Amino acid sequence: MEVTTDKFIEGSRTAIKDEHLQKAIHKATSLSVRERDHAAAEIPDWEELREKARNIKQNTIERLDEYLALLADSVEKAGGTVFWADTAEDATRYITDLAVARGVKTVVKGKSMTSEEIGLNERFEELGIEPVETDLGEYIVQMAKEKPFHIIAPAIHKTRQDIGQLFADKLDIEYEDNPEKLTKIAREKLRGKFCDADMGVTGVNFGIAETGTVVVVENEGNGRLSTSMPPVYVALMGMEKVIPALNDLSTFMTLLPRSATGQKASCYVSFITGTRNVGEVGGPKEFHLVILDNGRSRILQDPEMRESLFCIRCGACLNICPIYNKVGGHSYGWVYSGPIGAVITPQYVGLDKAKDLPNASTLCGACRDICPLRINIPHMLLNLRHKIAEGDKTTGVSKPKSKWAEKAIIDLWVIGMKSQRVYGLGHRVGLVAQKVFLRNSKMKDRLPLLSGWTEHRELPPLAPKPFRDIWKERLSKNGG
Amino acid sequence: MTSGSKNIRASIFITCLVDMLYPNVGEAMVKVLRETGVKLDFPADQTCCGQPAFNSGYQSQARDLAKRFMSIFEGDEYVVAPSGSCTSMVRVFYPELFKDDPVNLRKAQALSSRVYEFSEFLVKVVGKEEVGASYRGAVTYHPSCHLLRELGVGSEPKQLLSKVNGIDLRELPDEKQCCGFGGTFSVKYSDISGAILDTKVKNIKESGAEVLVANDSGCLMHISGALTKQGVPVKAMHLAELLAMKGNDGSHD
Amino acid sequence: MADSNQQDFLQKVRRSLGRPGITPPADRERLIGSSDKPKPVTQLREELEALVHEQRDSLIDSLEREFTRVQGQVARISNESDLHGYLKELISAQAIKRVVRWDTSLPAPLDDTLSESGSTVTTIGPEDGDASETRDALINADLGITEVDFAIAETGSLVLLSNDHQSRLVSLVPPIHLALVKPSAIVPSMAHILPILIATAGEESARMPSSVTFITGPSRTADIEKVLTIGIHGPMAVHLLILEYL
Repeated sequence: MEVTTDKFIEGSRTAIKDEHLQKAIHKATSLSVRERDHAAAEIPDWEELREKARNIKQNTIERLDEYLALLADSVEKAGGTVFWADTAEDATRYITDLAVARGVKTVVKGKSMTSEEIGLNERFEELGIEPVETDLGEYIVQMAKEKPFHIIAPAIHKTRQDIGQLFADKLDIEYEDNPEKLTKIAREKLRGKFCDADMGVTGVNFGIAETGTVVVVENEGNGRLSTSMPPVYVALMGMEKVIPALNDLSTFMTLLPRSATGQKASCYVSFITGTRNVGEVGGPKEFHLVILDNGRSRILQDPEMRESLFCIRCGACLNICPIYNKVGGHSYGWVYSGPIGAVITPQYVGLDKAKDLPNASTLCGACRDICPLRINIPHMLLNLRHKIAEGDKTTGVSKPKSKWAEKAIIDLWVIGMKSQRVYGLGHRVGLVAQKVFLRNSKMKDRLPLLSGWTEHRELPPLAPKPFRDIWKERLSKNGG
Repeated sequence: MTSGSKNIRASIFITCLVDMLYPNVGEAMVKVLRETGVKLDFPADQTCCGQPAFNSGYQSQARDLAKRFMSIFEGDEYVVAPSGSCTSMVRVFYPELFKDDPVNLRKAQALSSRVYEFSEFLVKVVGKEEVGASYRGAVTYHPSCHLLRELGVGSEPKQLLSKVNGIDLRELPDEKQCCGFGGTFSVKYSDISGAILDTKVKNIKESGAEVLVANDSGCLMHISGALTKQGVPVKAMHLAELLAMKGNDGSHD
Repeated sequence: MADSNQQDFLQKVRRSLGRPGITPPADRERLIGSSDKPKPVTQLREELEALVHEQRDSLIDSLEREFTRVQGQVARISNESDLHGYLKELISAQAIKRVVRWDTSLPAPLDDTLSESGSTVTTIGPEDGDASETRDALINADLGITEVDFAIAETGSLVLLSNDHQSRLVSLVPPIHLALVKPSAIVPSMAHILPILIATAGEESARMPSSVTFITGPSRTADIEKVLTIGIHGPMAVHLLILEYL
């Protein structure tokens, strides 16, 4: 997918001014949070499950190469083929080569953020192969030629009127904006695609090393159809999605649907292991598991950042984030948005291209509170800010330099802060500067940082006497 | 739980914002703590804990200031600050800063266990919820994010507020939602900051309160700035200021 | 045998983790192993049966309640004649002409009722390749009938294993799905089923079933304004019959 992470500030300004969009985001996310809170409250040992899930992921990630080896072994024993994709190009080349070799004309796709990461649809289209997004939200954004707006609900920025108009324009039908009717239209239009498709591609929620099983979680049934009707099925899995044992799943399947949509269980959970049995009707005759690195191993290099790979893509952090709720998913400029996006996107596309993402946060920590695996997003954002400011020692990849002016200011400021006298002097200078520069109120609105402040808030004055002087003069004598 | 509060000695960690912009908050904190019998001193050499540098990614510079800070407050029985974010810098992030430096890590860990935010100090260390405060009016409370989530201080401020004589404590809708300050975020990403702030102001209006109380001057400066600019008749006050009040005329005696 | 592509890939991962050496050959026991020796599947099944029998009434209640909550239709069937009645009513009300079903021995009245009603029934059983008649039967069917291997009371989920007699398409392609469950198959939670799947895979078939599907109600989406809409790509309706007399 095209990277536009450097357009964050522009994008966020546009989003904030769009009242229509703000209403749509707020409606969707506030409902999601309420539903999630209700569903989590039903589980008395929710906190213990979070801890358990975290430990499973931690153990797996720390020995990732071994669990991936076991996963591959299990898949192969079940009649599947494993392809190891170091880069996005490796993955797309393998899948498109396979499609060409099998004479594939149409591919039906279950929801896969990883496929957007590698730009798979574009590669198919270049070869004259039709990739059909079948998840309703993805179907809508594909039709609109937009990026997904949210990890779970790709079209949540669109109202029913937007979608009705889109369908009317692109499908050449009468305008209709009732959600039920629009949903039926999508079902009818896509039915034939499932039947005719020569290949199905989906993402993977969990890859079970013990058995070689890929787990696909969904509500619509398009995942089931994509994995059951075409003769060839390609499961595209980010390598961090592997978990050790089948028994580990019950922990995750309690946390994931409740965190994502407030459901006790998603409508369909499919355990797919290898190819169909001899004589079986439905299911893949060929099963390919493409295991994708694409920069994940670079994330592993810094032990502090490894937990960014624990994410199970529930989207809860997006729903609760005060920044996401104002700027929306498109501002983040790539596949993954919200708090988790702010952490992983810079690591994938390069810190120098995505400097705004870790910085555009108040570090409030609501994301960590709601995350089913308690991923410490605020601490990782601080870590990324550190890498931006002082260079990235662990990976030595693209050493971005912070603005020299900013570093100079910080250095000066630190020198000042090391001396109580300079600090005190600074206050006195500030008092004078305040009188001089702010006497003319127009100044306030022109000075670079200050104008940002004063656009929304009154500027407080420096106190005539700092506390330390007051203490010395009055307070230290009594009851010291 | 009134246990030997006469024997508690604490050093004041005043924080830059209170020192330079809101010294009255410092005065109020001193008054409230002294009335409970706590003996206070103020290490005059203190400056900044280094959080602005740390939050901007300049960890070496933050480390310099942290070392200075740790030596100034070394050996103090307790250190108390009128700020959740500054307290969390010392308690949570100093050990992080020195994780590869065993000597300073030990110092940071020792200081961690002795540094407190004002409201948690009152409730947990001094053991007091009722401090003789009196204020008649509708008041609502905004929990600052670092206070709530890095320090885990959620109920203590409310316990203290509930004991204020005459208070009409109102719930703030969506209270846990960030106010949008975030330090330099408020100026670097001022549009987003302002938009988040608008929601907080809307919720404050909805609460029907005349006073907004918080424990962090950053949040208060940011929120009161908007209240003033928008002409909303709500006064923003630090918890220490409210607890120092003996009546609505603002008298502290 | 690991090809060089696999070796390179895994080495990169291992080096990134700061681990020395090369990835050892996959050792299931070391990586998955639990402290207890795994129980044989017969024992697991017996233990589960005993538990299910003991909690039978509350499990049925919970399944009925949860399945209804997710917009499924549930009916408790207390005898064969009621089963016959339900099916007849369904066929009439939904104008069902074409039926596909699993190739398992369904309770006898079902077959009788289906033939009496005049609807065509295609049993989807073992075959080689994709016969177009089978495909057409599935695509044109109004109703798909299956049993369930398990039902989960906690979440109202039906668990269907697939094989050459139990096609995964029967519960997926037709717009209406009718599922038959015996009370002995109703278990408390997903965690009760997983060990049995593993033990079965270990002992009997050397691998997991080609698919295990957990179905919790008719298909749905909330992708448009978070408005819940029932019926998109999977079935529009699911009827669950709890055969209490079995």
